[in-house]
Formats: sequence, C-alpha cells, structure tokens
Amino acid sequence: MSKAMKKIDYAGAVPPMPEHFLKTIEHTLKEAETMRLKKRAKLTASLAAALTAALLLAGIAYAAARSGLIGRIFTRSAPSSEAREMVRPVNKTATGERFAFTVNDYLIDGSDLYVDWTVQSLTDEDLMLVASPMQASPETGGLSDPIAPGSLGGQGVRLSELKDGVLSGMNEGHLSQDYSGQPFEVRFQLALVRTSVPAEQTVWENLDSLGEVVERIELSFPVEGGAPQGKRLTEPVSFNREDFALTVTEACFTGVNAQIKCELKWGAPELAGGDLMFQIWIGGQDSGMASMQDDSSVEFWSEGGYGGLPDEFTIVPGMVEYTDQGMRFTPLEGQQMAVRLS
Amino acid sequence: MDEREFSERVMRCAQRLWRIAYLILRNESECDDAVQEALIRAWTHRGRLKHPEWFETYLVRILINVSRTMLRGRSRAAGELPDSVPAPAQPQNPELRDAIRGLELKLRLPLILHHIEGYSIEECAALLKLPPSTVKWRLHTARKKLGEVLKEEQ
Repeated sequence: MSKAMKKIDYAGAVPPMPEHFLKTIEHTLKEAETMRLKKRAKLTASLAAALTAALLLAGIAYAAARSGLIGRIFTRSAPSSEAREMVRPVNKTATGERFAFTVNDYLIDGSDLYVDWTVQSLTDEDLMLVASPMQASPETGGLSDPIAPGSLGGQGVRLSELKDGVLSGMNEGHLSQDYSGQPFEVRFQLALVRTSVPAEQTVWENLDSLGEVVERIELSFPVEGGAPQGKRLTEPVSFNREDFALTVTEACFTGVNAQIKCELKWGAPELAGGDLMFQIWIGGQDSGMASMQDDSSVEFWSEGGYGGLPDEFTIVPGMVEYTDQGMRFTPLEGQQMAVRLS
Repeated sequence: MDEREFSERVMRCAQRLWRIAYLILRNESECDDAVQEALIRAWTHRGRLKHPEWFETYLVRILINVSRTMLRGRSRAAGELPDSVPAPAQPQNPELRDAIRGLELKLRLPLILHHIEGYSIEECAALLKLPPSTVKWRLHTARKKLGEVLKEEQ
C-alpha cells in the first residue's frame, strides 16, 4: 500500500446522515411492534382434546384510516381472493360504563388467526387500559407466546393517549401444527385501572398490584370450524451439498402468506461471508430471495402474491456477485432442491 | 429490553447504520428500506440477545444481512414509506465512495467495518463470522484494489 493510500480519509466517502433516514428510523421504532405482528406474531394453540391458544393484544393502535382486517393484513400486496373469502364478521361488542370493546371480524387460514378489534373510551378520566393475552378455549393450560416475551402487546395504554378516544388494531396468532380445523372460542379480557405506574409495568399478570381496577370487560366469540389448512411440509427435509447442508424445517402456504424456515450448515466457512444465497421458486416463478437471518438460518416470507396453493416449491442456491449494475445471481447448476407440500 | 431502551440504543447508533447501509447499497431509498427491515428484525428477535452490551453489534450484523438481501433488488421492506426520497447530499469525496462501492461485497464489508466504523479485526471477524486471518487478507486485498482504482482516476 502506498503512503498516499494510508492517508485516505475514509469518512469522506459518506455524506452526512440525511433527515429522511432518521425519520425512517423514528417511524420504524414507533411502529416496530405493529410491523412485527403483521409479519410473524405467533399464537400457540393446542387443539387435541381441547385447544389453548395464546394471542397478544397489541397495545399499539393502528391508524384509524386503515381499511379493516384485510387492509391490516395485506400491507404490501393486493389481497388474494382466498383471503377475502376467509374473513368472518363478528361485530360483537362488550360495553361497560367507561369503555366498550368490539371484535369486528376475524380471519383464520389454518396457520394463523387474525382478529380485528376496536376499543372506544367512554370516559374523560385518564385511566390505564390493560389487556390480557387472548385465549382460545376450551383451556387446557397456561397461556404461552413463544416469540414475544416482554413485547409491547401486554403493556397498558392510557386512555388519554388515544386519538379521539379510539384504539383499534389487529391481533395475529400462530396456530399449533396439530390444529386441524376444529371450531373453538376466543376470549379477550380487558380492564381499566386507576394507576400512576408507567405503561411498561402495566401488564395483565400484575393487574391486581397496579392500582384500583375500576372496570373489567370480557368478550368471547366463536371461531368456525373447517378453516382451510393450506399446504405444509409434513416433516423436515434435508439436502446435502458440497459446500453446505440445508434442512427445510418448516414450510406453510396459506391464502394469506407463505413461510419457509431452513437451517444451514456450512462446509466451507468462507462462504458464510455472504456469497451464497437462496432463491425461492413457487409455481414455476421466481418468488424472491430467502433472507439470511444469520449464517445458520434462512427464512422466506411472502405476503400472498404467488397465486393459489402450490404442491411444491424449489430452493435454488446460487452465488452472488456485486457489480456496478447491482447483484448478479448465478444458480449453482444441479443443486436445486424441490420440496413437496401436502 | 423494553421499547424505550431499544429506541435509545438504536438512536445512538443511527449514524453508524447510515454509513454502513450507504456504502453497501446502491441508493438512499434502499438504505431506508434496509434499516427499516433490520430494526423490525432486531426488535422481533431481541430476546435472543443474551448480552445487551452487544446490541450495536447485533444490529449492525442484521443490517448487513438485510442489505445483502436487498442488493438482490427484490426484497422490499415492509411499511408505507414512499419509494422515492429527496436527492442525496454528495459526500466530500464521491470518487472514494464510488471506489468503495465498486469493490466486491466480501472486500467492501471488512473495509467499511474496519476503516470507517473503527471495528477491530477481531470485531470484524465476529461480525462477518470469518476467521481474523480472512478478514486481514480481505482488508489487504480491498485496500490494494481501492488504491489501484483511485490511482487510475488521478
């Protein structure tokens, strides 16, 4: 390296951070939980002799202008006709003296349950609204939410912070693998508490110690049986290649979305630097790149847009090269991996 | 880690996120998308972070992974942000930026992390999951190629 090179001021290669970038960060921080729930909130439901599900009540209000359940689910693409047909109206309200809670409608696609709800404040008093995780019954055990411990979902919301006294949103939960379409009942529990405890401490589990509970509301509604089950991977499938071994651990296609999860083991450590990537083909079409969560896990998530429910999908490994024109993906010949769904 | 702490920590490293995204990706719109996707992913999986003091490293690693995918040009982040953003300000040394962006990603990443972000060789190795010796070799190659490109331009 020349002496001139040593004097390079690398900082000169980057302009100051623009305002829009900072705004993007601020916007995302504000909406992170909402966006997370849209993509992958999990409900664990066990339906064998009975079913227990756990749902988070998202403590984040969605913009009131959003158009119903379908609009909340499909944020990036046009809703599929299958999804529209799966929406079931509920329009059930539990009204107390100080607030009312309405479940507007729900959608169950065999993999996830989405519930659209609204809370309306009927008081000027600044009380804390606290909600339980949502349960599916009949109950057989405790609630669980394996993906979001300590998330925003359980936190309280001050009525004074609600826009026009209304909080509306959507709960999304993931059904257990063994759910096979039985009907079940879903229950919400909400309470208003007179408390000065900060919102982050006001979780349902601490309800009795938060202050004076001035009102409680419960609302249950039935979820119809016979929900479509989508297409799934019945058991993990592994592929051994020269430089890596890929195990598809989960795959589920519904009328709403497609999710694929894989585990990756490297035979050549230097490849973990990022030159190998995976393309997903669904229904004979390139449906995008799987996302490297880290060097040992790969995930693919698609919000509909693949048309119908496929019988199989194909994972195409390839090497990437980065050029001035962008990235060039070169498939590794003969190393495609076809995965059957049932 | 609660929302407040998460937000504070993210805001503290916003400049770093910007620089890394800017030099990996092709345009500023992609930088916005990448940071948005990275933050959602970091928030979703924050429970996996056993050592909170490594938060920044954790976030940078996610951003790098997201940016790699973004380079494919297909994976748009969730959200309702506009696709277009205001025209970017030029860096002080646009030739250097172009030269860095012109490097292969496997060379570019160690260079960004080490020379611009100040991570040590060991930290770069941990971030990129590479042996330190590989990081050193890639840095050496990156500097050499950069030198050649800049020399040609002079």
